[in-house]
Formats: sequence, C-alpha cells, structure tokens
Amino acid sequence: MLSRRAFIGMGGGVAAVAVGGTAAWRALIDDRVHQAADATTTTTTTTSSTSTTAAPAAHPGRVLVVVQLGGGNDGLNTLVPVGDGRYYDNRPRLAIAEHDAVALPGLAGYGLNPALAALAPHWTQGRLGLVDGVGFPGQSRSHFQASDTWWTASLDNTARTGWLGRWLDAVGDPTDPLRAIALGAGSPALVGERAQSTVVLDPTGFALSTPDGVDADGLAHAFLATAAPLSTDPVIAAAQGAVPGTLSSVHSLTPALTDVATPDAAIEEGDLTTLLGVAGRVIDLGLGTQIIVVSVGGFDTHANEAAAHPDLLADLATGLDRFLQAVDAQGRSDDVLVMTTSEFGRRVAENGSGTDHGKASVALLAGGPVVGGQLVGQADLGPLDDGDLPVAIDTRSMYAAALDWLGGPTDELLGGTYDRHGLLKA
Amino acid sequence: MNDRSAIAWLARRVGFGLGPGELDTLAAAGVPAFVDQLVDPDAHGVAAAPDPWRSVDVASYDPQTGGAGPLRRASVEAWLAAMFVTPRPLEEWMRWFWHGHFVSTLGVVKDPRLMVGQLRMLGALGLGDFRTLLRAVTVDAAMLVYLDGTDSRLGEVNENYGREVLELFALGVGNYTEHDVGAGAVALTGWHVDRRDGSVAFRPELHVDDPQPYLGRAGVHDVDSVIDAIVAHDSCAPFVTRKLARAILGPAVEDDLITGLAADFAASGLQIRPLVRAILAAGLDGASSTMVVAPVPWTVAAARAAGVTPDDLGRALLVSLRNAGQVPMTAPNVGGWPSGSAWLTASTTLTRVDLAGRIASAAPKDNPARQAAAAGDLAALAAALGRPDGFIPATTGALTALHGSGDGGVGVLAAALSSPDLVTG
Repeated sequence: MLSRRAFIGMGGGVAAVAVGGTAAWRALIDDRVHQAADATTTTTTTTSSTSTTAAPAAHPGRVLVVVQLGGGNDGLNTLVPVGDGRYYDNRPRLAIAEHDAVALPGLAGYGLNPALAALAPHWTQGRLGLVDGVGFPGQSRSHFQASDTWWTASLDNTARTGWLGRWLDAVGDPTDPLRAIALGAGSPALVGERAQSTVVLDPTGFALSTPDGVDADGLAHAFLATAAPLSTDPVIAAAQGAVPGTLSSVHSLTPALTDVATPDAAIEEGDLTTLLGVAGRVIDLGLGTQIIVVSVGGFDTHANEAAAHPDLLADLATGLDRFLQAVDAQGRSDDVLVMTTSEFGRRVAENGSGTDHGKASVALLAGGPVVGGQLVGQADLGPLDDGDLPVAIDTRSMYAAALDWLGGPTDELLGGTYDRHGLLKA
Repeated sequence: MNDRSAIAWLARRVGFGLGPGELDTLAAAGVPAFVDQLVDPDAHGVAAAPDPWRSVDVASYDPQTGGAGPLRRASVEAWLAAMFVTPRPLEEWMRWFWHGHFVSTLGVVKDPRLMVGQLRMLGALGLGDFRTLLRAVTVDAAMLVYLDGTDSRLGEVNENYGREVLELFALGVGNYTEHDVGAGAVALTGWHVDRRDGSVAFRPELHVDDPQPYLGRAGVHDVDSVIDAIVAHDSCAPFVTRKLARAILGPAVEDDLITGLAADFAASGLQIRPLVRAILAAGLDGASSTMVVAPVPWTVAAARAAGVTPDDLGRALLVSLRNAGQVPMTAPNVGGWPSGSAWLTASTTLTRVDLAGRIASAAPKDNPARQAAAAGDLAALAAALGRPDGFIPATTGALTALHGSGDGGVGVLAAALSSPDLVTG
C-alpha cells in the first residue's frame, strides 16, 4: 500500500543528517532528564487537587498493544460469513467468495479475508481469537462521536479521560511518559487526569539535531530550564510540562527508531507493519512500557473498497504476524496482548463500490494470553439495526478482559461489570 | 492590551506572524488601521495577493502516469511560501482555516490540480457568504473525490459527503437525523469528476431526482435545495461561528459571546467578513485566551521573525512539518488536524526544537532577533519574535544562562524560538 510518507514523495533524508546531533543530545541529557522530570512532577503535584497515590502495577512486565484501525473497519469483509446467503445478497460486488476466504479450523460458516492469510497459523496455534458483533450500545455512525465512545468507554461522551488513561492514573507511576506510547498518531484513549504518554507520529522523524557551532550542552540545558518555574497560565504551563518528557522520550526511544529510518523500507512497508515493528523494538528495550497504541487510518471505505480494503488488511496481517514472531524471539510471548479497535463497522448492504458507516464490527485478539482458535459473539445478519449489524458484544467486555490482565481495578475504571466472555486465559 | 500586544495578537491569530521591523511600523499606524488592512484590504489600498501556485505547473499533471510526487510537493511548498510573504495575511489565514474545516487531502485526492483548485476556491470565497462557500465546496472536484461524491449515483448512493456536510461542515452532530444523511446523499447524486482533466459536471442521468423531506423542509432534491436547507437551519450560524471564534480567540470562548456573534452572522445572511471583524473586536476587548500554536503557523512565524526564507530551510521545512504532524493538504482525517495539547506531544515538541535550531542558524547576522539574541537583550528579542510583553520567568532564566556562549546568538535564538512562550500565544 501507499505509505503516508510516499504521498508527497519524501523519505527520511533530512532526519539522517541529524543523527549525530541526536547522539550529542542523548549523551548530554542522560543524567539530567530524570532530575528535571522529578522537579516538574513535584511542582505539578503540589498545584494539583488530584494528587492521589497510584497503586503499583500488579503485572509490571505485561504489555497491551491496541491497534486502532481508523475510519471504521468493515467487519463483514474481515471475518467473512461464507455460510450466510444474506451476506452474498447484500454484497453483490464486494462479497468474498467462499472459495477465496481462508478457512479457520474448527470454525464452520466463516473464513478470513484472503488478505489476512498470514494470521491463519496463529489461529491454529491458539493465539488468535475473534470477537464478532462488537460495539457499544447505541453505537453512533459518526466517526467522531463513535471514536469518543470507544476511547472514553463512556456512552454519554462526558468522560474527560480515556479508558487506558484511567488505568495509567490508577496503577503505577502516571508521570512516567514511557509507560504508554502512541505510535502513528496521538491516542485520546491514553488521556488521564495525570497520566503522561509519549506520541511518536512518524518513527523516521523522531530525532533532534544541534546547529553547527552551537554549544549543544548549553542549548540542552536551556531547553530543560524553560520547564520551570511554571507559568500561572495553564496553557503555557502545559507547554512547559512537555519539555522534560520529550527529552526523556528521545533519549529512551531513539534506539528503537534508528533502524527504521531507511526510506526504501518506509515506502515498501505499510504503515501498520512499520509501526508494529517499532512496537516490537520498544518492548525489547525494556523501558517499562505497558501500553502501546498503534494508529493507522484508511478504513473508511465508502468507495473502491474492493481494491483498498485488502491492502489495509494485508498490512495488518503482515504487521501482526511479524510482531508476534518478534515477541516470540524475545521470549515474551505470554507478556504481550494485542487488541484491534475501530470506531464502527460498516453497512451490511454495499453502496456500489464501497460501504457506508455502520455499527457492529469484528475485533482481533492476539498473543499468548488469548484463548485462541475461538470466535466469541456473532454478527447477526438477521434482524438488522437500520441496515447495520446489531451490537452483540459490548466493547467494554474486551476492555475489561484486557484491564484484568494488566492488573485492574477494572470495574472501577469502566464504571460497571462486564462479562469477560472467556476471551483470555484465566 | 497595549497597541504592540494587540498588533502581535492579530498577526498571530489571523495571520502568520510578522517580519523584521513590522511590529513597530504597524504599531505606529495604530491597531484600527491594521484591523482594516486585514479585514478589508480592498478598501484600504492593500495590494492584491498573487496566486500562491502561479509558478507551479499543476496543469502538467498526467492522470495516466500519475507521477505527481514532485508536483504535490511543489504545491505544498508554494502555499507555505505564500504564507511568508502575503500582503493580505487574513485572506491567506482564512484559506488555511477553511482548509482545516472543509478537509480534502492529497493522499486521497492524489491529483494536485484538484487540491490546488480547491484551495484557490477557498481563498476566493473564504471571506464572502457561507452559502456560496458551502455550495462551491459541495461540488468542488477535490471534495467530490475526497468524500466520494463522484462515486455517488443512481443505484450507488454514497453517504460519505451527505453525512460529513451536516456533522462537520455546517450543523454539528445532534442537529440532524440519519434520514437527513441519506436524503441529502440522494439529492447530491450526479456530480461527476472527469479524472482526465479534473473538470466537474452535473450528469442528470446519474442523478436520483427524488424529492424528500430534509432538515424539516419538503421536496429537497438537488444541490441547491440541500444547501438552502442547511444554511437556513438554526444550528448553522452558531456552528460556524463557534468553529471560527475558537480558532481565533482560543478554546475558552464564552457561550454568550458565540450566541451574540451567531445572531449577527445569521442576520447578515451568513457574511463571513463582518463575522471575522466582530470576533477580532471581541478578542481585542479581552475575549481571547492563550492557545497552543500549531506547527504550520509556528514554523512560518518563527522563520519570518528570524529573517529566514523557505529556500533557506530547503527540504527541512517539509520534513520537519511532517515529523511535527502538520503538512498542508495532508490532514489526518475529515475532521482536520487536532488542536491544543495534541501539539505538545514528544514528536511535535522535539521537531520544533530541531527546526528552531535550523532556523536560528540560518538567521542573517543583521536580523533584529538574531542581533538581540547576540546582545542578550531579551526584551528586544521577545518583541522581535512577536511577544512584546516579554518572556516568562523560566525562559528568561534559561536564555540568560545561555547568553555569552560565543555562537553569535544562534543558541539563544534557537532556545527562544522553541520556548514555551513561542509554542503558545
């Protein structure tokens, strides 16, 4: 598929020039970052009314990887109900023929989109599970309203924090910006009252340089020094607060990002494959990262779905397959859980060349902790909800299973108790 | 606000900063004169702005071979360059604002002729009346591709535009029904983009002429009846007013102010120019709050203040904006770019630091900001960077400690450009 980077014909040329500068910054800030971060944290805490003490993480080695398929993934063409004639009636042009779909052992009536073939062995090996008919009650067809609900896990969109941000606030040190890392785009799911996270928009461009002839040590100190004392203007104070965390992130993450900066790879690989490759390297660095959110777009397939959707799914399959293998090679198979999310599924009936916004969709769960080879829930093509698949499994059930695995307090964070549906191993 | 603060505020909020010496010149002429030049340049003797893409041969794009990488890049760079030198900052800023509102992207549209065409249209109509603007957007070639209007036809009705025009462009979520989404999509069928030459035509044989109730009106069946129903809806003026007022005044705008501005906007027949004037008056009267500055306006303002041109930065300009997360014509989705704390992430922050170093080292030795940095005159430096009220104590301390490192002011200028003071405003 065409990478974001290829749209305007840019590789990583300028960033490469800056590598030497980055090394200089890293060396200089090595022992000062935590000092500055501590100072800022102290200041923030004394001015904050919500300075609760977070509980230590129950399972500090575990990493939850959430893969956000932005735009609304077409669940019916992801996990294809090949045994249901109504699917073929509604999708005269876009339907995946039964003989093209990838059969999954033990799962009659369904097959995977052929672009997902690389994932079939993981199903057989018992570390890929599927959740069908997933969504929220009253699932919206608006990208932004639905995304808000998925991110906050709150039906009325009044929550100011994301479901993962609340966990970061509650468990472990919420001021450590490396506990949660967003790759590809920022993630509102990571927003907490106190939680910090690190956003890496483009792994090929995460570098700092220093101008020739400038005292790099002095410049690094000056940059850090702008962080305190905090301004009384909350917006300026927020900009100051970003300073120490940024230096800390650059220092810690650069080893995971340097070998990504090869323009050829960046163009040939899909975005998700690149970003999941980075996720694997971040886990390998052992920075104490517990949540990684990887975001890509393009799933809003109103038009030209027959060409575009398989490319997107192939990127997901390639990326996920390589990621699971990388985690295996690190000996971390049981420490890593992957979950896909997407704001909604798509209309059952095609519109000609694509599908419009719908409601329920399908989610993938992958990794050692998953009860693999299992389909939970069913997208029912019978009584449709205004032309859409009705929601059968509440998204919060998936979230609850993941938060339990990370070490709760799940029900408190989700504001209720949701059936875990045996998605993960006990 | 004193006059210099007011001039700097106007230049930040509805422009792309100030070049060397401009603050003093504009302050001498007074704030009302600057507002007049910005809002109504025709009536105040301001030269017309040249077309940003006059030197980009977008017409040479060949949809058969599609090899548009250099043309796409040149189209983006030409627009950025225009932001540096435009004699009419508000007109260019309005184009930028509407581009973030009526989103289309090169990644989806691909054809740079269409993207440039859309931007020319947004520039020409951006201060006129909202009905004319919304109608033009609705049948604009790039928009018809980006939100699939060109694929929406008899037997293949595509809802993409029909939904987003209501949710994101004109009314806001909660002010329409799912029926309205579908009925609008049907009424807008038949508009077709010819991919060979990029022209748009209404093709009756592709149109579904099926009059339906829409937003409480009967018999809506074509583009004009759709647009009429939208702009007559009670939530249209408040929705557009809120979006524009928040972009200019900051996220903390009071609801009462929006209500008053929207009533006047509706009464004027949705005339945008007087709405902008009223928003600016409110801002100068104390309704403005601090904002985080997005990467594009930060970059242009920082480089201009330092006397640095796009050519000086070369490839680094676009690569830095990509790393920071904001390249014109490549918004992440139909909702446009994020705002506020989204521009304080590690990626954006470190890219600003990196680019600040590049800008500072490219600054001419006789540039006032560079000279003030070399002399350690922080009051003059802050003013030269568009912050005539000075730096916050943390930045003052940091720059003072850095002064005298023997680099001719480059380090102090770099640190000032990436300081929290310049990241916000």
